[in-house]
Amino acid sequence: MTGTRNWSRRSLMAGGAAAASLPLLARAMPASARQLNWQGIAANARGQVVHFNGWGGDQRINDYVAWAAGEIMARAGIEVRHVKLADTAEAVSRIVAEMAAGRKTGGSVDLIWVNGENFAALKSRNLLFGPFVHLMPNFQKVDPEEKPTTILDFTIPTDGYEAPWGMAQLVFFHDSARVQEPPRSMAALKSWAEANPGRFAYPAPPDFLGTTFLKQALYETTADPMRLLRPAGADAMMATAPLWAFLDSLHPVLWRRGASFPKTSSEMRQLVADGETDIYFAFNPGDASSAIAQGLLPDTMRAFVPNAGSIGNSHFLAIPFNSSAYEGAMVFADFLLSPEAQARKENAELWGDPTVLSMARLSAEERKLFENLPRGIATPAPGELGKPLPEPHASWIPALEPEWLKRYSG
Amino acid sequence: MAEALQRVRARSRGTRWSLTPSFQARDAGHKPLPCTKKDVLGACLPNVSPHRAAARSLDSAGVRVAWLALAALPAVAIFAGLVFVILPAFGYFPTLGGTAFSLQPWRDLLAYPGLASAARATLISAFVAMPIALGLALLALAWIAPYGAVRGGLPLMAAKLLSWLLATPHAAFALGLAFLIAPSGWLVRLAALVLPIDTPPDLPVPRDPYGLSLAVGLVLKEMPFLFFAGLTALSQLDASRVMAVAAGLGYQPGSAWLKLIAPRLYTLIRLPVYAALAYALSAVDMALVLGPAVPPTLAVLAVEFTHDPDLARRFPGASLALTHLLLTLGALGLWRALEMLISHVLRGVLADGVRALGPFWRSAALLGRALALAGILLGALAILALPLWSLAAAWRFPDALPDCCTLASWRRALPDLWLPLRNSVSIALVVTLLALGGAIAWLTLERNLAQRPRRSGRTIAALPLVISDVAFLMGVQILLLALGLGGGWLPTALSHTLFVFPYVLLALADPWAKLDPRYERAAMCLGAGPMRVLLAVRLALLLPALAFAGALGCAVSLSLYLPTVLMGGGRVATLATEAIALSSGGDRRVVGLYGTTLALVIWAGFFIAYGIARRAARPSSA
Repeated sequence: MTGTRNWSRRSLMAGGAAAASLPLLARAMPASARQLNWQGIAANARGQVVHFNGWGGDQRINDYVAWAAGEIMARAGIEVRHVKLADTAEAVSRIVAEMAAGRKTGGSVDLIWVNGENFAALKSRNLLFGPFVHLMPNFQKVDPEEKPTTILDFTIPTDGYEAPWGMAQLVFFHDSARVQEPPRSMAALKSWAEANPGRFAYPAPPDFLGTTFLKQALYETTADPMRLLRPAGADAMMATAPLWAFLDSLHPVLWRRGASFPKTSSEMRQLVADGETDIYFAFNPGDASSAIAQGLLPDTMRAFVPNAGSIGNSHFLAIPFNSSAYEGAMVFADFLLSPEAQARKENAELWGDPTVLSMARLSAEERKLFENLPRGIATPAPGELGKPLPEPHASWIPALEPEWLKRYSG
Repeated sequence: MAEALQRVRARSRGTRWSLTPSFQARDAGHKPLPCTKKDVLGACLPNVSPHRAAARSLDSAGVRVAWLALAALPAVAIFAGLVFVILPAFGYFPTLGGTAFSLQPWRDLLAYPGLASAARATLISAFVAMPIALGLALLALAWIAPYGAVRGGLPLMAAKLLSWLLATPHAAFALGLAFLIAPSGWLVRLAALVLPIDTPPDLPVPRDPYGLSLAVGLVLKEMPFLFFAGLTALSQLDASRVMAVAAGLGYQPGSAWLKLIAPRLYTLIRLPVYAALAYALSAVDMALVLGPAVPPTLAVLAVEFTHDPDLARRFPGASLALTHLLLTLGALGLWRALEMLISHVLRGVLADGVRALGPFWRSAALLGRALALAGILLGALAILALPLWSLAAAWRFPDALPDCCTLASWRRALPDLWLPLRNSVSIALVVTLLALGGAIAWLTLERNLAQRPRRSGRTIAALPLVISDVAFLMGVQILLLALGLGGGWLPTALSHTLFVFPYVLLALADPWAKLDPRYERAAMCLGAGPMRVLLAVRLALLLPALAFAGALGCAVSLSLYLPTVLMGGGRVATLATEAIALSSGGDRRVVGLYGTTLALVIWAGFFIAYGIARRAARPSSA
């Protein structure tokens, strides 16, 4: 068993080396079996069990993954098990621990849904398998020039170590039955919250969206937003000072006066659904629409985007260095990148997550899948979203999260 | 405890309250045995109990070694776990680059913002919850079953509800309760039927920074546990005779119960009380749902430390786990001190000779009874919320009831439900069989021993229940890491066995001891070997007790959250872990569905056990 796995891994890597310029793998692996191609990968993948580790806090996404798992079982004979994480850092921690313990094969994570800080953590420690993205047939349908964040993850080049899965841009949603004129800037949000105390909450960092809220607020309050694109340095204290002043004045008028926070972004949405707050935000422009379609939110929800623009990025799929099912993970990732799976993902009645594919690179038939998709009543029209703001450099997160904890925890 | 549960269920079906077959010692006195010739039996094996005879047929030293090995297993696991928490807590763990001892982990831990608040919430929730839970359990006992037998009418209904509460897993219960008590929750929605409420009040529940919502959850979950522990203990006290004597001396029933029954009862349920206190301090599943968010309780914080991608965090994480262990030991010590203080204070009251209760005690009893009843109803509502949500199309504030009913959520979730269901059930069955086998072996070997090693053996077996599981489980996890092993099904099942075994052993020990020895003596006279006597006589006669101990074992395993998370290595999703993972998912329908499924599986176990008990009881009553 182990022997087979080792062989397939070596030959797969060598196959990759043959396919393109792969200095790293070419150095690491003997180029003995070069004959392996995508058919070979798919053949090895059959019968594998892929433990797909991803944030499991949204049932709509879980349902989507369950659908994809069923499809890939039927089409390619791969069993995908969704390991539902409360926080992606858990899986990253496990991979790092396995590396420390010398577990070079048979790792517990086969495929991981990741971006930003967690990707940076994995890549900088050489804990990822790859580059593999160019081997995937459906990656040809991605145009990195049209969508730069498909190869640039929080300013860090992906270098083929993660396959793009979906596009994201921070969008706010409000209940139009309760909020007539939504606040389109942090300053407006503060005055709105002062007039409506207790009706807004954001998730506590290090929740992904909680941290993103801090970054968005940092963009809107700091003196030189362009400075955020370069690594944080000695001037971080100065650059973030206006942010803390803003939060200090915002917190007393938050939900529960800032003494407690929702733990996750889904909990923040639940508060709106329960009528405890009126505004929430998500990285998925179709979030409210799909929640309406599933009976989770009232149909009076509408979207708005900050005037200054909002943070945009992509989310990705990566394979850890000790994945026990590389081939299965690649085939599954390729299926998730297929026009069919991407169109279903963009359907606002199911998930509503925008595609990473470029329409120009699709066949007429494939393009048809994306036409007439239900967009949903609470999804901003393409023109309304505006140009996404780039993610600040990953090094700003250590300047934000611990400080937040120090100031507002307990 | 299983036996007490069994009695409540038996009673609820209108049969006689004691389902424990008539061969038990209690009844044996006034019921002739089927094989009546006592003198013949006595002549057959004079002065030799079958226990000793059975044991003597084996090599006595071998028995001792086998029993020691069995008793050593949990001790070794705990010891290994603790060693591998203590080493990294002081900076030594070469796999992660810690090659020298240092106090740096402690400095890092103390520098962590919110540590004090986390400790505060942990202690408040436990020390608010435990006295209330214990008080309510005793008051409920005095009301429902003062002499060990459940009274009919309202007390019987309350007892039935309590048995459901006990059988409901912590995670599912916490999820239901969180929805019940939230400002936009069911209670406020019900109140909105009569009050003009259109926006939820801004109340800090659940997840209040002081851990009081968590305390409410702990009270409601520990009260039934302590109630049934007390009910089991009452049957050992010969309460009705004591009460009759007290009545002859002019004591009123309430006074007699308080002065003569309650103090002795408490000493019998001390272990369950300590276990409940340890659980209150280390509960992760309940604290994730009901406890404070930022910072969480210490146990949750320790788990968060082990999930940090920065492996250096595992060092202060180990320090935190060790702190948690010391805190648990300190809390148990404090509780013991409070016990002594209270017994000292109450000694005067107990011995004052006053036959009737004063107005203070009477009104306290009344208030307690009302509170216990309210708690039981609150718990029942919390459980009811789960299936209701799973059938809801939508349920918006302030509707008192959901748009009912649709199976859409069930249809959607079924494919995803299968794997965690399979994991949960397979682990529970294997672990319970292991524990039952271990308990039978333990009790068989134990007969040969003196009182002292017997008692210390049982204390060791119960250790996982009263020690901080956060600490030693984290140690075992670190040990696995050092050995280059990941988590998985097997480590998870083994860790479950540590927690299931003591429950099964304690549930089985009482009926085991009560079984009339003459049955086995008769069988041996007829020439049966020790193995045959064990299988065909003892185990066959104890089948109802075995079934209930098995159901209890399954229930414990199915409910376990932390061992599964820490030992599963992310690969063992069970119903309990999925329910908690989904609890932050913003779709209560799915949460309700997982909670309902988990509770149904556990209840099914008890129903099967009840069916076995009924079948076994039938011939003896015929």
